[in-house]
Amino acid sequence: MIKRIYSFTIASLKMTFRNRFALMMSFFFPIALILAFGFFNNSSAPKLNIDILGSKNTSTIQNNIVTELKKSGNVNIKKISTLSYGKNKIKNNSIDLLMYITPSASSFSRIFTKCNVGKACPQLVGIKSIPNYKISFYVNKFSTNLTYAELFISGFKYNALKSVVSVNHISLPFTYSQTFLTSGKEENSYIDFLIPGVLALALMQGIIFAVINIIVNYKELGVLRRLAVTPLTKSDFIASLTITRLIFGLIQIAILIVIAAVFLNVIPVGGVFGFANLTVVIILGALMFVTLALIISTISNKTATVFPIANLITLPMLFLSGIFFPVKNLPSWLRSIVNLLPLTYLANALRGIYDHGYSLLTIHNDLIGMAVWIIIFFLLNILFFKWE
Amino acid sequence: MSVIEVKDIKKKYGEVVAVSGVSFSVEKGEVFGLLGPNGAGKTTTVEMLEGITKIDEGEAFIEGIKVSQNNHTLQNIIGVSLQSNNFFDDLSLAEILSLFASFFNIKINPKEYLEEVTLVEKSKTKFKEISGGQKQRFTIALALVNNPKVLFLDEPTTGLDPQSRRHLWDIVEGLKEKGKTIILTTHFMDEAERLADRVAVMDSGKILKMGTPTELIQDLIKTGFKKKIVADERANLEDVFIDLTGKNLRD
Repeated sequence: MIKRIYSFTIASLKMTFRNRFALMMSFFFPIALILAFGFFNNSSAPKLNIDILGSKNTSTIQNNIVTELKKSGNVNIKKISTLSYGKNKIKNNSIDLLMYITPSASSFSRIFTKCNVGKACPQLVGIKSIPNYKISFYVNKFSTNLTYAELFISGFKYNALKSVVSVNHISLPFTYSQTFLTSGKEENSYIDFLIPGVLALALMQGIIFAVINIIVNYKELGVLRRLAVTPLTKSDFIASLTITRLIFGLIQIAILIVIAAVFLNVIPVGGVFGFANLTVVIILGALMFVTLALIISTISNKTATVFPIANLITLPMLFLSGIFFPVKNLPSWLRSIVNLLPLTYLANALRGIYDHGYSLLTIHNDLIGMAVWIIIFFLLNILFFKWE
Repeated sequence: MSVIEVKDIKKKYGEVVAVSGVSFSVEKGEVFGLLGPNGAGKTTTVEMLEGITKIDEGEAFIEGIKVSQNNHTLQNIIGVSLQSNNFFDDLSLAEILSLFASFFNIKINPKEYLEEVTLVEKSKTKFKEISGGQKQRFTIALALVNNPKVLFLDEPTTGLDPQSRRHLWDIVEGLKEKGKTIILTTHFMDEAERLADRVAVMDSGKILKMGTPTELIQDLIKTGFKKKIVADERANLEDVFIDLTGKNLRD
């Protein structure tokens, strides 16, 4: 039995690597997705969520800042009343930036005349006391919009400087401080979010379409019939099919990880353990999708029927299972269903390891979810899988 | 003792009766031809004997082993060439032969088997790259990997040109000389006349008549049958074709 499985697995791997078109497709699709979404995301600036508050006697300047920033349209700005409340919002990851305005020692500014033709110019006509403020920026270091928050701060400083110079104030009304605060849970950038999801998606699409293609094709061409008169058993066949897809899936994911690391600088955290954990998760995911594909292939013996059915099953997962946007953005009734989908478990598990370096214990819920699906699919196969 | 013993086997697909009670026996070294038009039940009959299709009623024995589905003992002594002759497109002929041999837990030299069907120069060619006639010959080579005692050849020459047919006939005759027992289905009467020791004519799931080709012809003549002679019996159009185009294989 082992020998039959071994030789058929080797033969299947040869066939997989010789089928150039299928091989190209299994890499082209995920790579195109990663690059398209990665660059698309970089090209449009998101709105920053900013809270602002001030101590006594700062309400005028506060209102001025709020009005000016609202005009720019790139920020959602909200006035709050206590600093600790604002800091907590950073910790909960619900704002990107907190601005805290306090008065600082006034400075004096000399007032000059406007320059008229024929007079010595400029002439000092008086001295004015100018209220000065200190603006403390608290930046959410783990925000998805960290880069934009930092850009905003430098932009703010530059604009403040410009407006001051234009009215001939010599001294600056603002001094600044900048502090980075971290939220309790690290939220990575969109590309960090996207890549583990695309890996999960690539594994699912690759396995499901390869397996049903092989089975339906072999059935249509009568290859399975011919195999049925050799000592190769159904379980030998399915075992080598599974091992082949497993090996190919691991190679595929490894190559995609390298591509994401080289071109987008997204590297899984957690070092060697991270990779070991990723391998475990990918093996579980591969088993889950092979067993699912085997069931899909029992629904019909015709390519023309099976592929639309496979699309019907994979497409909703592609859109909903937290590949391109987080599941938490879905309405709650839908979320509770989506959280149970096979691809959601795989994407969550991969993301946990990839972005946060979680241990298998931390993501045990996702692993159990996948295991339950494997058992369900396996039992369905025992009931329904046929050679013909 | 007969190598193959078939006792009143039947097969139904839903309401459609494919085979309704077929019995025959085949002796060692014999070529037994199952003749009949399309849909007569020839393929269903051989597929029941091969263990691909379940026998609904009746029973059959090959070398004393009772025929059943997925019977490993049976699989080791039979060689099968199915009507559909598709294998793994992306493997070479030698690789497919070695792969099938490994299913039987044996090691072979693929070239020996390809030699037998004059495909040795194609041993490294991928299956998808060979012609229809070559595929037919290859399925016979593949049926031989486990050195079977009994061979099932289901319509081995359908769709072939006269050169390839004649070549395949030579191959079958060679196998017969080696002492293989062969069950051959065909709807070409010239093929049956040339290759089969005995034939059974089937239609609508039943055997209508069985015997040596000469016996069956003599029986027909006894009934007062007279053939309308439209051409000289000493040669026919196919002889002309072969005379003009030669016996060499074209693929």
